[in-house]
Amino acid sequence: MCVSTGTMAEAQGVAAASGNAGPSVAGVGRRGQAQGQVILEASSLTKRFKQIVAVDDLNLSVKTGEVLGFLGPNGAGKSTTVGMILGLIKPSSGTVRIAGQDLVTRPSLVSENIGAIIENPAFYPYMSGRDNLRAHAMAVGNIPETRIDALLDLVNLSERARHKYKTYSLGMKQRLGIASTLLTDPALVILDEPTNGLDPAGQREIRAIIPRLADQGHGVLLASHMLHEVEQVSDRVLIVRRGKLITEGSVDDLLRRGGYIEVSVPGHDLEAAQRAIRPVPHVEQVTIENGKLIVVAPEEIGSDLNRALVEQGIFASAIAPRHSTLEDLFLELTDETEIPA
Amino acid sequence: MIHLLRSEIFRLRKRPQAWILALITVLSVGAFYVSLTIAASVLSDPTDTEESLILPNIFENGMQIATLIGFILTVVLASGIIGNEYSWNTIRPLLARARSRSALLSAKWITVLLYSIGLYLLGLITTIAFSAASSAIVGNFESVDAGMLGDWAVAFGRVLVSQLPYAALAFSLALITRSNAVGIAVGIGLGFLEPAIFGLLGLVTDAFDEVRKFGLEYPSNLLVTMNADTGFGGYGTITTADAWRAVATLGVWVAIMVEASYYFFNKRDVTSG
Repeated sequence: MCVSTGTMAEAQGVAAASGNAGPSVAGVGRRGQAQGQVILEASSLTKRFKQIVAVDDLNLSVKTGEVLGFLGPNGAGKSTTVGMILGLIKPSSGTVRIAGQDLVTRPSLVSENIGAIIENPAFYPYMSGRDNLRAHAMAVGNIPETRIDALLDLVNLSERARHKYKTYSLGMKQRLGIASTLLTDPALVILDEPTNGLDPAGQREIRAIIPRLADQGHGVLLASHMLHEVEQVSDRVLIVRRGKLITEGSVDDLLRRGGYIEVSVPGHDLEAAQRAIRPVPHVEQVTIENGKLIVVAPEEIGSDLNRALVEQGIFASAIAPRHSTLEDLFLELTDETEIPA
Repeated sequence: MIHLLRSEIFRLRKRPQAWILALITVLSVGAFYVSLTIAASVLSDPTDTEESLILPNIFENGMQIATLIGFILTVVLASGIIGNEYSWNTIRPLLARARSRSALLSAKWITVLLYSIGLYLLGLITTIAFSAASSAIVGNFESVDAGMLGDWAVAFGRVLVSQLPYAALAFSLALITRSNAVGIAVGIGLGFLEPAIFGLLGLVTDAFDEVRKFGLEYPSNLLVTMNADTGFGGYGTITTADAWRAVATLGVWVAIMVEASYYFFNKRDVTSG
């Protein structure tokens, strides 16, 4: 994980509270789990609700130390998939393996290995933030009070820890949710829309925590419709539509896949230029848009394009590689009229 | 499961509703005895009223109030223990923390049982305290012997056996419908409406008088009537066999409710809440 924009020095406090020597948010290392180990593996996961296929033959895996962005428009089956991973929804077919073991045969794998915020954080309104964490800690057992203190520090809630949850802002609720997911020092953290409703500062704060979790060896499954957020913090991205996997790959690969080269040839015949470029190796497509040539090809062949044009007596004023955003790719792949934020 | 139970009890302890319900029990029983004490001081012939205040008669007086109030309050709390998990959306994170669904549900059933017993015990202690104080105030205090304590224990057992099925009904219905309101409405409503419904059905055919014995209200009231020793409710002379039949009937109902709750809780997808 190379993205590390976090300023959360408090993370070290959590490490100290959990008996960890290093600067760890939750220190999977102390569990003896190597980074890069597959912690979650879902195979041929399918869920049917009567006639509706919510998730269709989906495969995904998350390794420790990586952030997997899980993208899809509303109703794509993201939450249903998360529900199946957490054992809340029974798959119609397919398997979920956590830490190499089948979830059906050992339901306790979820509580032992996963911390999750599901859609929105939900806590008991009549209790304080600290007591809510205590209640969760008690349900699991053997979590010291010092870890609760450190996690409250981590999410900047120490000063409001004694206040009732019902008085918290949405951002504070989200931060408490993240603290809760880390209580058990889980190998896999599932965050479903973790920045929902947060102001820009809050979103930035959460985004800073996510890569840091991966840096410390947690696997992170980030289900989000915030494309720029997924683009910033994910190592790999998986895009689903109507329950089906559309594409999967590293963020860099996906963005490269969506890139193109813009060629300007003012004063020349565009169609002649189009004919000149088309035979160049690696050119997939050449179209004319707004008086320019749009060439779908790897950006490295810019000089080849120039040479081909010059050979035909056409001189380009600009040959510029353009990078697609994840949003462009997402819209292209999902082909939905609904545009995510 | 012990961790889940600790968490359930911790949350119950922190919940204002649990303490407010306990306070209502104390105030209701207290108001009953204060009223009788005032009545005894103003009536021209307070003999019967003074008799109502003494310790040997608590299960015919103060504990009848505690039982009625306890019936309503335990239904409210039992329904809330599971129903609110759905309305607050806390059921999913809670399930994700539990080692198994059955373990979580067992912890909740035990919590309902412990709180209900605690609430009726509080009602009993409050009744004893107010009875002793009130009878002393009117100069009619009577102590109790070991034999009477044994009778109290049996009578308290009857209270629990007769009332806990309603809490179980509220809990299992709140779980099945994922609604706190349904658990409370049916739990309390059935307690009051069942005799009326069977009364009306009895006008159609006498067979319903027999069917009524296999419901919840008849065996429950039979046990409470044994405590009150009033003969009210048309039970006539209640034999030991009648009492055990009532206990068995209520036991079967509770077993059905418990089984249904585990069936639905383990089988169903949790897609919301």
